[in-house]
Amino acid sequence: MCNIYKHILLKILTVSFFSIIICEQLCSQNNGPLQFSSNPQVNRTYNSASTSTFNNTKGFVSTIAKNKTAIKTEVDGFSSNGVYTTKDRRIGFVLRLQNTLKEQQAGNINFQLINNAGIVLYKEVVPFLLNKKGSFNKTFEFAGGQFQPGYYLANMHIVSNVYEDVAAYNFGFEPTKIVAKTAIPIDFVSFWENAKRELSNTSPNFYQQARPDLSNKHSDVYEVQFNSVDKAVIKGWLSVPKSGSKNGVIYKLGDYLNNQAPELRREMAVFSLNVRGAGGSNANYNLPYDQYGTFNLQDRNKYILKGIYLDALRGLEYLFSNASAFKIDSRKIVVVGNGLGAAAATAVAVLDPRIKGVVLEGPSFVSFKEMLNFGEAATPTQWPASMYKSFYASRRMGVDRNAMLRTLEYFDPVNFAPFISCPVLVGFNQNSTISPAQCVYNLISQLRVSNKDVHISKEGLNTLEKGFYGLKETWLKERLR
Amino acid sequence: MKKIVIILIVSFAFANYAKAGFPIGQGRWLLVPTFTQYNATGYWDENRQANLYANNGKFRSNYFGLYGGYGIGRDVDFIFNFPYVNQVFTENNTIIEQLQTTADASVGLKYFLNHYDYFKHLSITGSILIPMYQAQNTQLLPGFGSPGLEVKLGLAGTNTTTLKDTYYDIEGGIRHYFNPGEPTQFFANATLGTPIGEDWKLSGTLSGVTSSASGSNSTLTALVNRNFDYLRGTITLGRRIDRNISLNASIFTDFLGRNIGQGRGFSIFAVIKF
Repeated sequence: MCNIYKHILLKILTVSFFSIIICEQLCSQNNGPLQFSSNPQVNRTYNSASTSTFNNTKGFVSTIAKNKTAIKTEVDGFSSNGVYTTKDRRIGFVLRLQNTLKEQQAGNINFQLINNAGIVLYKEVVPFLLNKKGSFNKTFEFAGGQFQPGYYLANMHIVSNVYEDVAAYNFGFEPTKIVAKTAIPIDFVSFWENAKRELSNTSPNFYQQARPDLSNKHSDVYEVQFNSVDKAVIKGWLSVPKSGSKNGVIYKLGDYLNNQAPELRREMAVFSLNVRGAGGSNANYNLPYDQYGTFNLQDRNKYILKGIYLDALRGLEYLFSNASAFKIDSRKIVVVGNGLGAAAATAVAVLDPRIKGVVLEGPSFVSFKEMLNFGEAATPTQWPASMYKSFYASRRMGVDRNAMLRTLEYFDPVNFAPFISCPVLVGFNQNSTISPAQCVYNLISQLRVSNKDVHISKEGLNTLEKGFYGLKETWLKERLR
Repeated sequence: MKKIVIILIVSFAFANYAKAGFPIGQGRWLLVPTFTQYNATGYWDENRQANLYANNGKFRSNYFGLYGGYGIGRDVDFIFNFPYVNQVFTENNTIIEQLQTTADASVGLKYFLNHYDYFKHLSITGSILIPMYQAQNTQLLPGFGSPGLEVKLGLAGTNTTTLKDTYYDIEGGIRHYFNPGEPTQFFANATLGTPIGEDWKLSGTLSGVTSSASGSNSTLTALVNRNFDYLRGTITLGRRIDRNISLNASIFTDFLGRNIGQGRGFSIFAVIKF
C-alpha cells in the first residue's frame, strides 16, 4: 500500500514538475523584436458594442466577458506617453495577466497590430497558462525601422476557459511627421459655393428676445432665433457685457447633440448656438442619437452635416449683422468648436474668413476614413465609427462603405484645413476613442496657417487636461481684448 | 555731518507690484503709477536694537514711481521702473537734510521659463539698474550712484483646488552694484491674495532685503548706508474699476531690521492694462 501511495505521489510530483517547466516557458515570454507580416491584410472586426472601461493610464481595456474579474490585465508601454520617435530603441509594451481565481486558467491571446489604414501588420496567437493566483507576462517589442509616422493599435483578444476580454495599446510613431493622405473632391469648392448661395437665398428672419431672468448685473442675455436651409429654425443664446463700448465675441459651437446654455462673461460677449437637432433647434430635426450623424448620408446635398455647417455659418452672419446693436466688435470674433462643433468651426473659418481665430477643442468627425479604420479595428467598434458602420452595413439606398466615404469627403475638416487663414488653437487627447489621434494629426498636418498652437492631453481618454483650458483662456484674451 | 540711519533703497523698496509675476499678455501694455509715503521716527542699530532718532528726528520719503511693461510675446515681457523721490529729515521740526531727485531706474526683460498649465508661471527677470542722479555726499541719496544688475526668479499662479481662486506671487533674487565697494543685495517677496466678491481683492506681502558691502567705496557717496537688512509686511486692498483699470491702497510696516530706519507708511497705485 505504501508503494501505491509513493507511486501516486511520484506521479503528482512529475506532473507538477513538468507543469512548472511549461508555465515557466509560457508565463514569461520575451521574444526578440518582432517583424511585420510580409503579406498584411485589411482587418474588419465586426463586434457588437458593449461597455468599455478604462482601468489604467497605459492601455485601454474593454470588457466583453461574462466574468469580468477572472483575470486582471495591465498594459505597460515602453514609452510613458504612448509616443515613439526614431530615437527610441524599443517600441512596444508588456501585457501582464494576473489570475484572480483559485483555479488554473489556460487560454490564448489573439494579438493583432493594426495601422491607420486598418491593415494588420502583425498577428500572433500566444498561448498562456495561469496557475491559481498566478501571473503571465508577454512582451511585444517591434523593430523600429518598420514604422511610418502614424498611430497604431495593438489589439489583444484574451480568451481563457472562464474569461474573455480585450486589451489594447494605442501608440504613435513620429506623430508630428504625419501627413494626411487627403482626397479633396474636384468639385469641393463649387459644392460649398453652391451651399453658401443656397443659404443666402434663404431669408434669415433674425430675431432676438431679451431674457432678464437669465441676465445678471454684468451681462444681458438674449434668446436668438433665425432660419437656415431646409426650413430649419435655429436657436442660440447671446450674452453681452453691460459695460464696455465694444466687446469681442466667443462664438461657441457645441458637440454632437449637445444642448448649449447661455455663458456669461464680464469681459467678452458669448454666442452659444444650437445647430439643427440640438437643444431648442430640434423642431424639424428630432432624431435619435444613433441616427442623427448619418441622417440623409446617401445624398451629400441633403446630408445633415451640410445643414449643420450652414447653420453655424448663419450664426456668424447674425453676429456681423447685429454687431453695432449689441456693442460687438466684429473684428474680434473667435469661433470655439467642441467635438462635432469643431468640425463645423473648420467649415465656418473657411466659408467666412473674417473671423479672428478658431479653437478646435477635441475635434471629432475628422478624417473619416482613418476614423472608420481605427474604430472598426478596435473591439468593440468605437463610436462614432459604429454609427457609420451601421449605416453602410444596411446598404441604405445602395450606399456601400466606399460610396459613404466619398460623400463624407465633402464634410471632412481635413479638406477644409488647407483653406483656413486665421490663427488656430487645437486641443485633443491622444488616447481619444471618439477622435483617434491619427485623425487629429491628419487635420493638423493640413493646416497651412503659420499661427497655430497645439495642446496634447496625455491622461484619460476623451477629456482634455487643465493645461489646455489655461492655454485656451490665454489664447482667447490675446485675440479678444 | 551726523550719520542718520535711514532706509536707503527707496527705488526698490516701493517698486513691488503684487502680481508682477504674471504675464502681461502679448501685445499689451501694463502701467502702474504709484505714490508711496514712508515715515520713520527711529531705527534699528547694528545689534537690531530699536532706537528713536535724537531730537525728535523724523524721516519722510515721498516716492513717485511708474512701473510698467509690454508683452513682447507670450513668453517675454519688457519691464521698466522710473522713480522720483522727495526726501526730508528733520529734528525738532527743523529740516536737517532734504533732497528731491529721480532715483535708480531699471529696465529689463522677463522670460517665462514655463507656464505649466497656464494657471502657474515660472519666470526669470534680468534688469539693468541706472542711477538717474548725480552722485553727491548726502545720506538721503536714493541709491549708490552706481549702475547695477538685478536677476530674480519668480513663481506666480492662481490656486484652482486648495485655497481656490487665491493667487500667489513669490520672487527672490540678487542685486549687485558694479562700482567698487558697492553692495550686493539679496531680496525676496511673497504675496498671497484673494478675491473678495466680484470687484475687490485683498493681499498680504512679506518682503525682505539684506545688503552688504566690503572695501572702500566712492567718497562721493560715503555717507550712504550699505550694510543693512529689514523685513516688511504689507497689506493691500484693490478694487476693479473696469476691465482695464484697478485702484489699490496699501499699508506697510517694517518689523525687523539691522542698521536701518524703522519705517511704516502707505501706498496708492493704479494698475492700468491696455
